[in-house]
Amino acid sequence: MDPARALATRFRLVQHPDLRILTFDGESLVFNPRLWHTHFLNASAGLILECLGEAPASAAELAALLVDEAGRPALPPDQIATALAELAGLRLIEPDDAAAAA
Amino acid sequence: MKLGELPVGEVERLLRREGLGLAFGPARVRLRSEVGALAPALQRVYAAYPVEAPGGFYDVSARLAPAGGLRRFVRPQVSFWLDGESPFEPFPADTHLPLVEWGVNWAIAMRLNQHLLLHAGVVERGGRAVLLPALPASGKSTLTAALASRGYRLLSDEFGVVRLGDALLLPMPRPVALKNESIAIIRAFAPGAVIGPEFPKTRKGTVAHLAPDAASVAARHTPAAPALIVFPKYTPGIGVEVEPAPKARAFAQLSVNAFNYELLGPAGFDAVGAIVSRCGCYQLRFGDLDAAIEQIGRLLG
Repeated sequence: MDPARALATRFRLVQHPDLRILTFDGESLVFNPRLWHTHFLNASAGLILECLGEAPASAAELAALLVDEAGRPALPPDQIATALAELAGLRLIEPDDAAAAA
Repeated sequence: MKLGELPVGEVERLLRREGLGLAFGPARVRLRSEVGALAPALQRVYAAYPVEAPGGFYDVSARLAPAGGLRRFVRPQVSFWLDGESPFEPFPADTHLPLVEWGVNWAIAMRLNQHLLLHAGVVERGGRAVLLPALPASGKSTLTAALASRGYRLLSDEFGVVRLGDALLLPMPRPVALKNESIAIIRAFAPGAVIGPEFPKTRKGTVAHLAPDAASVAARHTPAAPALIVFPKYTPGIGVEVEPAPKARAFAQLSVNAFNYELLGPAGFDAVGAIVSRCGCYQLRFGDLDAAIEQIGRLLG
């Protein structure tokens, strides 16, 4: 998925009983059961994954959620869309079917 | 009866016939050998091990035998056999014990997949275990041997055996393989230590094995809780330097150096995650064993 399409898509975390996510000091480790591989994610990607674990969201919605201490956006939507495209490529997230159906 | 208490002729007989059974904590091993010289070497480095009654299930059933062909006459060699297969090239006949140790290590690494097998030395004091994961030539074995000679219980020099489910460390206190200059270092550091024969010109240079102490062997079925992860690096010319290791990096180093992390998938991830969560993680560069031991003691608390 390219970032432009990711920008316009609502994503959710994949549902799999063997998916694992651990965060230590801002760095996230993810066991990806579909690729049978462990990923080491930077802070931004880890936060995005954490947010999508709470509820499906689009890049714009994530940008509103991911704010710094002063309430300013921590990441611009296009940067979030790039991360979303990469996470989708790793099959850790997927388009939210409920949103697509609506 | 303990192996060190048997007459050497009886050990030879066991090795030639029904096999010598030893329980290394989570792995039960049967050794057979047609190489007579193996018996006294095994007795020296496994002296404190009770000889298991024959029969039952063995995780590893291995045999050492002279290699066939013309090698029987010129520079004789020995082969390591595992359940009827010989997975390695033969070794020179006078390196029988290193071949047995490497072969058994290999078999354990291939087979003990009900546990996560980290590549690490492990010692314990006061119920708190120290993991020493490291790459070859990092000084892991030397530091593990030094700690074991200063009152720490030896769990293993090679395998951090992590029980899936509760992430406790299972002991496998086998001889510590010392290589090259480490042999003289440990002889000087621990003059009372029992070290087996030296085997020069192996693939890793000269090798000798430090026998596990009787207390560590006696406690080989008692797990220990992980408390500290120290990534050692022998650095000549310095005393000791320590710095915290970020936990995510510690996770990466542990998992990359494990024998079967990939195979275990989510169970391996859970086990490494549980250990890293519970432990303080540090990089330790050392040139002085006493200083390194003192530092590890402080970190352990």
